[in-house]
Amino acid sequence: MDVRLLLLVSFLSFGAANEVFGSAAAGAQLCKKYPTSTYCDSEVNSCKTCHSTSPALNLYGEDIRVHLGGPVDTASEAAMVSIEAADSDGDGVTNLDELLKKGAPGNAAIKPSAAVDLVYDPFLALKRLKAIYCGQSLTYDLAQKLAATADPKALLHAELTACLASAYWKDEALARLADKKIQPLAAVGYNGNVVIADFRWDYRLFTYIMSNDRDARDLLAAQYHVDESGKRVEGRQGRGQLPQIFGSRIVIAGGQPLVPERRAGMITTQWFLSFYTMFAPLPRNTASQAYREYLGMDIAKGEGLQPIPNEPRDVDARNVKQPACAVCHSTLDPLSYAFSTYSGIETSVLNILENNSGTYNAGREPWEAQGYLMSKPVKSLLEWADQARNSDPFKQNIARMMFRQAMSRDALPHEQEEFDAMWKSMPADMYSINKLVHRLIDTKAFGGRRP
Amino acid sequence: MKARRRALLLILPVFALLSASCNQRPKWTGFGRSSGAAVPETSSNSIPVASETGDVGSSEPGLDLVWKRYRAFEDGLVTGLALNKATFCQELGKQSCIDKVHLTFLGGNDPFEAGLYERAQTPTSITAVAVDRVVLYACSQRLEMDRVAASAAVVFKYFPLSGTPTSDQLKLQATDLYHRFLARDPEAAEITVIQSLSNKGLAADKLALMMCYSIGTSAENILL
Repeated sequence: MDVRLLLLVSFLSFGAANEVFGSAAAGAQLCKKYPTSTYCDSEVNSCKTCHSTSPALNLYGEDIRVHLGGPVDTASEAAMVSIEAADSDGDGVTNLDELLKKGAPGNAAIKPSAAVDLVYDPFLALKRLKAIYCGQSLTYDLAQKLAATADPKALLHAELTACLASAYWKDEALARLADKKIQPLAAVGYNGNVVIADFRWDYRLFTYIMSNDRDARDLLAAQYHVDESGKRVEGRQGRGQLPQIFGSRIVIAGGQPLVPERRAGMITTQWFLSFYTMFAPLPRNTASQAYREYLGMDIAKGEGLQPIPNEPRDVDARNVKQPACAVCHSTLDPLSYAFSTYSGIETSVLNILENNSGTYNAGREPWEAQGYLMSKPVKSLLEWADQARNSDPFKQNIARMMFRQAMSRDALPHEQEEFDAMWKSMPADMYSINKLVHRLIDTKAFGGRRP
Repeated sequence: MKARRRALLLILPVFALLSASCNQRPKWTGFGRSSGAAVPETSSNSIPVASETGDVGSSEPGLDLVWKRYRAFEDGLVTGLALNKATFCQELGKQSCIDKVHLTFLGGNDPFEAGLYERAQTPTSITAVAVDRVVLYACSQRLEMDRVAASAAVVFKYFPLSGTPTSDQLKLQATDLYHRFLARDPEAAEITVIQSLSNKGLAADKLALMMCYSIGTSAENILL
């Protein structure tokens, strides 16, 4: 395609999508009107009723757009009502029936299903759990043992317990779960050409917290770290490599220099702060990564938008007040203020020698106490993290992460009840990932098959 | 011409075995298998088409499958065929098939060197090729080890690899391979197809390799 034509199409598409893009109010209106509809279980999911991948609209979202009689924030409910009898995705079910009976009005592949009557198959569950949590194939001997036992569930859970204590689970499977959160880059990590931080600390902390029945809230709370031997260590941790400013390699930082009382787990490691903040006065990238990976809300996809009045103020003069930017920045900027007193990469000779990347500096920027998370004010990053780790989105995100790790997909509408029970059980289970996984393998989503 | 005929002779029984393991076998009968209960095969018997972080595509309840990814796949071959994990599959004799060369297509990801922070959600067309190649590596290696071991053979021990196997010997070998790869007994239909190969005049070692390859690459060994 001609490049100019491509640009024109892209521009027009963006313009069209932008008319209804990112309206948190529209999603809220839909979930208020149809509270039991498939995607109204969480902030993250509610977008999916109208969007395929935000900002792109699905067929139902497109129908809403066509029938809007005014601004999306105020007119969307009327548009929804006006197309209740229509069948936007053409799957033979009206939009209203889809919204009331666990279908999806913009996705022809998801229709209200008749009562799903699956049976739990321990053989299937055992095959899956051995592969997913042990990295092993089921053996004939174990299959025979399962067939002979009077209590298959007990055998499944015993096997799972062994898997979750295995080196495969702790050193490999959990590490792969951390990849997207840490986003390591060998060239700028330990032993890289330009060392900005050592992400091995991040992997160790993540796998430590996610294993052995530890409290998963430590992902956003830990003031400790974990050394190479796997032992929990307190206090500041020295760098593994001496600073180097001249020559073929540059070593800017290493270790964990942040004072423990300013730490909040994975979002205050030297790697996290250096890699995501870099040199930004207002660390929007850092905040959005924390929001995406630990609360499951991706602002780039229009998820978790909760605009704060009078924001964005454009505190760092980035011209984000214009409407197309403000849609997201009215949430993102207040989300970022609490990170602004934590440094990113510090490159002056003195800072390199003192290992100051990823440390706290109250005078760095003046916005720290002006932040908001999920519409509530937060005065510091510690408050931010405390509010985050005790929220429903945190629990949902952890449960979703473990569900996806097992099934390579999200819960289907008929599995939603089981999924909700999983994340709601986390406080009673003291936020143990092991206990969560034990609950997961008991679900029909995991071990169910047709009779 | 001779080579083409030999290739044809090899390909035809492989198709026969593949169709036995993929089409005639009931799907996911689990504990109900002995009672003959079978889940009808449908076009929706598949992994849902969706992004791991995105929307859920089509999948009928109870019919979606889970991909047995690289490590469990590797373990099935290494344990099942009693191979050395470190050396059983090296591309060009240098790079690990599982951890390096075919990692992505077998369901893994390399965040450090390749910068891949997420694994693929579903197998790709290349996955089938990678699975074929790795299983063939494993089966060939076991076959050569057992040929050398002769009477002390570990897997291919039910008939001499230089002779012509009988129908009963084929059944014993196939049953053992089903145990090793799929953790279950073979169905009668599967055995019938395998036994029918006994009068085709095929060399024993070729038959052994074909059985190993066909059962090891069956969908049941890759999708759980």
